[in-house]
Amino acid sequence: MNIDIVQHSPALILAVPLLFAFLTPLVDRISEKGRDALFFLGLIIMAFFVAIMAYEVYTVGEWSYVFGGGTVTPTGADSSFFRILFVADGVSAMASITLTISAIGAAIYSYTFMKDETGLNKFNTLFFLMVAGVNGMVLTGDLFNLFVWFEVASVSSAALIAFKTYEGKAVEAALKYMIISVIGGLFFLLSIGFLYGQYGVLNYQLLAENITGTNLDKIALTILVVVLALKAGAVPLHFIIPDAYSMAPGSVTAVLVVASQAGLWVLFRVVFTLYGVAVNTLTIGWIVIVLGILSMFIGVTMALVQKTVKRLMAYHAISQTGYMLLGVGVGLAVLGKPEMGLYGRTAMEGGVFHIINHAMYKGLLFLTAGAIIFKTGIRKLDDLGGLGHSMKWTMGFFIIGALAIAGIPPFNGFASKLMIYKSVYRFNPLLSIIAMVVSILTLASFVKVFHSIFMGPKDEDIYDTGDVPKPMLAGMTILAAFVILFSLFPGAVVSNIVEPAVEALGVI
Amino acid sequence: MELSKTFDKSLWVFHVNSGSCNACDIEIVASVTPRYDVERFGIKLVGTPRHADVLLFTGPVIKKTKERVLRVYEQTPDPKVVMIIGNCASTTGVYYDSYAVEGPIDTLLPDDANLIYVNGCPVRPENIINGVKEAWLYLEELRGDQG
Amino acid sequence: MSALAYQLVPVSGWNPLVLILLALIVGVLVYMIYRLGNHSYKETKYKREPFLSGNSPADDPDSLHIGGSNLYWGFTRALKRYFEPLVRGHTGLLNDYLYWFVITVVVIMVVLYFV
Repeated sequence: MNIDIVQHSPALILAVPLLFAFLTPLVDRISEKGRDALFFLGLIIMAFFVAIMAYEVYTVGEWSYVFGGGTVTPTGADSSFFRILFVADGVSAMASITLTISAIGAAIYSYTFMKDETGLNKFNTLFFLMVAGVNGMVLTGDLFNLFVWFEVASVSSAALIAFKTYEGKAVEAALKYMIISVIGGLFFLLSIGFLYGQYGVLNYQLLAENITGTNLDKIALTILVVVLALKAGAVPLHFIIPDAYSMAPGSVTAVLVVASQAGLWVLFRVVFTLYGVAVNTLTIGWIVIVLGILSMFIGVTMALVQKTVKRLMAYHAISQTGYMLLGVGVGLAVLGKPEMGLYGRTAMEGGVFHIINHAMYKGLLFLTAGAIIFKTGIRKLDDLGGLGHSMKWTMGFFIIGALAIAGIPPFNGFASKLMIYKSVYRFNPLLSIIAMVVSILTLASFVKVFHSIFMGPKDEDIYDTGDVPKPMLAGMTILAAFVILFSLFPGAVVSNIVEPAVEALGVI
Repeated sequence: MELSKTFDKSLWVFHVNSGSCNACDIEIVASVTPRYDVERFGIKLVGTPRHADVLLFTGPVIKKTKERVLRVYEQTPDPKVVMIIGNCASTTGVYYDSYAVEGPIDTLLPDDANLIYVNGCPVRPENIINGVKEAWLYLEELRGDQG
Repeated sequence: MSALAYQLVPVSGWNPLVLILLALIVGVLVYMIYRLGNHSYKETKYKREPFLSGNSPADDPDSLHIGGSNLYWGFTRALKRYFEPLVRGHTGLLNDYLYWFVITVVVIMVVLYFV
């Protein structure tokens, strides 16, 4: 039997978490240690397959994987017409790498973070399902399959948000998240219906060849853009993000960030690959840019007045999503025009690089916030203080994450933000100035948080010698190591990981 | 403590009342008024001992303020000079042998404090300015020792 | 990588060896400035406590650390006219979230249709 693992790796990336998700309750009946071991084993096997797929994409090129075997042909009895397609290209590789790093860091972290909880078999199952759903969203090449994975990711994320109930507040947040995701999914289905009704095909490739810019297409595009912006957390659809991120347990929030970014990846695929130049890209580009600017500004100003640590960080996540939308929106606005080669491509690279940077440093920040809540049990900023005396490692990681998010050289946030500033300036100077002001306000906000939590004399009420347990530190170290790695070699990351993604989106 | 050459220019003063009857305090304030004007030398009263070069102590140390006086002395950064204003601060003056009084200030301060005594009850502002002049001469002498 | 991108993030600027060398030079400068400092510092019992008019910090622990929502109150107060409608708009009601969703869909549809 000749099984080509490399060719099958997209399917295996999805099959492994699903298999382990359903194995976990069974193994849990036998032994608890087995369940924990299965957790890490599943993620490591998935990481192995992601590495294989990424290596193949970066060395050989992209390919489409048809479920059920056979080759992809547009017509005929065995055609791709009736099959589910997975696409392994730069976008899938980059998104899967981001998700894997975040998931492994969060999994090692939750070994001690969730130790005292009951129902951990359900936590592991839901975690695997969420990972599978997010991977599915970026790997798939078919619109209806995308809807399926969208729903899988939403349901499992909602259940994970409600995991630690916090006297019902987390359950409320999860309920709201569930309703918003379901309604978003139904609108998504509606727009898929519009496209299917007109063209009769559902996969990206065939649809992209056939699509024209009829009015129904524009309606479908509007609904798709708004639903995916809802998933990603762009203003004015961002209201669910602070509730969900602040109530979820620490390790889950780090992966929820990547799940929201999956919405962003799908948005880029829809706008670039699916529609491309069929609609007026200047208009849709400016719409994305306006969403980005609103997200950046409203996100950071709301973050300045927050009194709870995780809610503040969630608003910063919204603000950073604005940077990604800004960079890619500028690229979209000049799609097909000669300025693309001049600055549009760099703007896109900056926006896309910001996605992986953001997942790394935001995940790190959420894990440090979770560590503080784990150690002291206090969520509000007013009651915290003087933790720098005891939690030195957590403070170090917080400093790395805070400087990275504020865009201070030499961290990776600076690298991607510099690319965005300089290229967006050539498109329209005002946007770049707003982006820089938002960056300064981000720094201001994190200085406030740092001072409130870590500085000051030892507070006798909450002082407790020692830092958080080692597995939590190990999880944070993984993400911090990637932040520092990307800070030291941003050029290498951009040319090896970000450029294939940008080229896969159809931008030459 | 090391004294630099510029230490006697524009000394900033922090005033501590450790139990006096307020007469010396009023005279200290009077000496910054336009009639006696120490502000022309750059000497000003500051609000926190962290900014101060000179500490002005008035009054005997009573039992309740003993620890507080020591705290303020230690929280003033080096190099510093202590001016002991009035009869009550250098000896306990009219409060001699009272049940509430701990003792004169110089019993409380560590051995390496630089002390200048200004006498009077209450101290006349001219005497305070004389005390400042004595302080400058003393500091020159101290710096001479240090080379 | 496009030519402009190479100008924006030149790989040589992020050379780790250059950064380490710069860090060493800065370290030498810092040490030289440290040597110019005053070496007669003596640690005594109360020297590092915060100044609370001579009172002990244990008497009033709340006064020791200003943090949380007290920081930046001046900034938020000065921009009250921007912040108050903004915070009020974040009601937390699910109905309002969906109203925003519908409004956004309508606005973008109108923009796409006419422009």
